[in-house]
Amino acid sequence: MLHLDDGVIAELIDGELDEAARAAATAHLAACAECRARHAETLAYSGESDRLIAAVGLPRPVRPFRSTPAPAPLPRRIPWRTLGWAASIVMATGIGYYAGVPRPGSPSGVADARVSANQQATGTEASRPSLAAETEGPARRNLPAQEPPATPAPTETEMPRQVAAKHANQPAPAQAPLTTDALLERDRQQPPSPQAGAITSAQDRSGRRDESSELKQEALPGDKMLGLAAAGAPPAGSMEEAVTRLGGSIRLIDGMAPVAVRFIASSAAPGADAGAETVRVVYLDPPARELWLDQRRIDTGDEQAGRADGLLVGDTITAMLADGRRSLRWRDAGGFQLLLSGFLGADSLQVLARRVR
Amino acid sequence: MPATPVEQLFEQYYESLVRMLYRRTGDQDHAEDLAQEVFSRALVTPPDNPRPWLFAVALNLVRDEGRRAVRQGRRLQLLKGEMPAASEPADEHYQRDADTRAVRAALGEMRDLDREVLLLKAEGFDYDEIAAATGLARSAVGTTLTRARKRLVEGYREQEKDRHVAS
Repeated sequence: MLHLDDGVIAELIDGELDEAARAAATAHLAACAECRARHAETLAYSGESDRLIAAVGLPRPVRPFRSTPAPAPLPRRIPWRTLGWAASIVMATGIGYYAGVPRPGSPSGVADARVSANQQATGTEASRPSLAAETEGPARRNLPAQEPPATPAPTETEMPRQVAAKHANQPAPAQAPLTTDALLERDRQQPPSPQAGAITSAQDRSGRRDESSELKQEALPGDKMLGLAAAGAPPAGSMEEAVTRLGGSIRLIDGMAPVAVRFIASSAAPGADAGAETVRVVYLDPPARELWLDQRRIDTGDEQAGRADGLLVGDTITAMLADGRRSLRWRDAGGFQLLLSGFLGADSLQVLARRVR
Repeated sequence: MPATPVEQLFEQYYESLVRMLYRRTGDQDHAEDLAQEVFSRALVTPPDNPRPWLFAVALNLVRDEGRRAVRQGRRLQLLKGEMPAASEPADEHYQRDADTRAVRAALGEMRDLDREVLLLKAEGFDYDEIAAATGLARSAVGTTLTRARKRLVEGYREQEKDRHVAS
């Protein structure tokens, strides 16, 4: 008689045999005392081992992965990239405009541009000839009315007129046409007010409020940057470089003034991932110990980042670092991986983390 | 089979995974750390057959974790004692603790494969899933389980005998 092997007996005990195999095994056990004894022994070991393993339960309930509410991600940060694009477009438009303005050697073009501006202001199309005549000077006025210029010179008259119509609310240049150098010099002498300038002009033309202009007016991190520069340490260039390295924005603790910005390799940043440079914004807590806000940008589709930190937006990890600092690590919706660490309690870290903008 | 969202996998398997890893490592904080690492990998590569995949990755991590911790040099000590265990009489606590240590010692003396098969079975894995997670042939799972159970019980009895002799 063939006996049941250990595997079949185990499958019978664990309910892993199909109907036919189970019927055959049961029939064999009924007829074979040796296999019945082995079955009983295996069953006893199975029950005992299950009991022993069950005795090794978790000493405490598992800590939820999302054990603490994540710091609320706020969109209040300067959209440097957007502002950069807007500035580029405005600069290009301005350069194009002033490149189209005739040089000092072509007075008729300047006159036409000024006339167009005046016409736009008065709205009188019929008065154009007389106004033009007043501004063109005696040489032009002496020309016979039935003899138009041999060449209408559209490049010197039409272009400035069109552009001037767009900028009718701006004062026309009084004397010589502005060159690019002159424009830059004027900006240096008269910096544009927050309400003036490129974005404001764009709003006027479109009649819509530009989101980027609203964000520009908030300028929270920028204000901090200026304050930092005025305080003397660290140089604003460091902060600007940090912003650049972080792709155009940076996270700061609202209401606290950073004292330094450092760029550290991943190996020196607690909790950072290999291959990623981390920007560390340093603050001081009341006893003047350093409080670090380490940050780096990650792409949500970044395979390496996802594999390395395993954090989802809304997750936080509180940890005690080897040097005694306590840390709070999270990822915000803006694509930042952040680690706030210092010699503070967990509650204090949570409070500060909620102020990170 | 379409991939299951990681959040759903987390809800279904996180605690089970932590429990299995705790039985394997004896350190709940470390077990939770490893379990989070497993789910972060699932986020990158959503598995088709999630449960065996998750536990197989976890067991691989346990084998490799010592080397990985040295390489990264950034092993975090997660805060302890966030959720105090329910109080129990001291003698019951002592007895339970002693039993746990004896079982853990017996598990520690087993071969990796035997221990892993046993721990997976304790988490409700069927033979097909155990085969998928460990790489065993399905026909070998029953035999391995029988051997593992016997070794665990006998190892525990040895631990108990030593404890009574010592006391």
